[in-house]
Amino acid sequence: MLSDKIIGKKYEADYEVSYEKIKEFVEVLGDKNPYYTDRDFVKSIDGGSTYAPPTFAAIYCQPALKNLYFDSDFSKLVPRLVHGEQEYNFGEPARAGDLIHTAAEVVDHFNKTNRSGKIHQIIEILTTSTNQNDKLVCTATYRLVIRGE
Amino acid sequence: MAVKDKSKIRINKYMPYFYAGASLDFNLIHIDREFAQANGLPDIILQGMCTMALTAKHIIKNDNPSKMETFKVRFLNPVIPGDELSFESEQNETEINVEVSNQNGNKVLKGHAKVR
Repeated sequence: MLSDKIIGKKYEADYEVSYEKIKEFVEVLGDKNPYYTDRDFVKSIDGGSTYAPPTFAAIYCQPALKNLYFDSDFSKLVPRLVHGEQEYNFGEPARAGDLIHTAAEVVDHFNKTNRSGKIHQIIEILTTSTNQNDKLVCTATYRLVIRGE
Repeated sequence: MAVKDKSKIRINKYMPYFYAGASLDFNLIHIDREFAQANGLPDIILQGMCTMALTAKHIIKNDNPSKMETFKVRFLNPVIPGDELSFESEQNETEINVEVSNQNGNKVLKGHAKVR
């Protein structure tokens, strides 16, 4: 069982959004939206660089979360970890060339008994991501479930 | 006036590996069957964030992605490679409710988005 001392732990990291990474990401999804990969199209719309899909937040938040997963209290539980809920609030869009800073904090940890009587642990993590202009790009809430044995 | 929309996607057996490569989510429950089964899962499971990304694709289509203001989902059942997922959404003004089910009619995701 994870101790409550995990609550309040904080992790931070930077991530630079690249055109090529966005392209790899949308290729996996089979997503052909021109806002993601068509540079000429986006230039003609607003003169800027291509957009990252909203759920690309999983990528730019990942370096901060990775630091949590490698935390000695947490890493042994990762095999029994599944995603329960995910919530995003988006501000400025993330675009190719952006440098995004993410701060992640474990804000809650509690037990929940499911229908078959198994005790699962729920961990809630909040992330806040800002871009190179100090504009808020995304806040996210991750509710992770450590499945009971 | 509610606007309803439906789409389907077959999750091919390599998708968890491709998504792992793109997202750097290499949790072994997504890429190693023996490991997944030893940890109580029926098989390797698709990353929940991949199902969420596919659901966002269903909602946004070819529109400007910055119109998505909020997006919240609950993961209800694991998605196994080979599953055929059905996405059904209903939009009222700026509010969109979405559900994703597998070929057996089991719901795998329920979500809500707000658009600008």
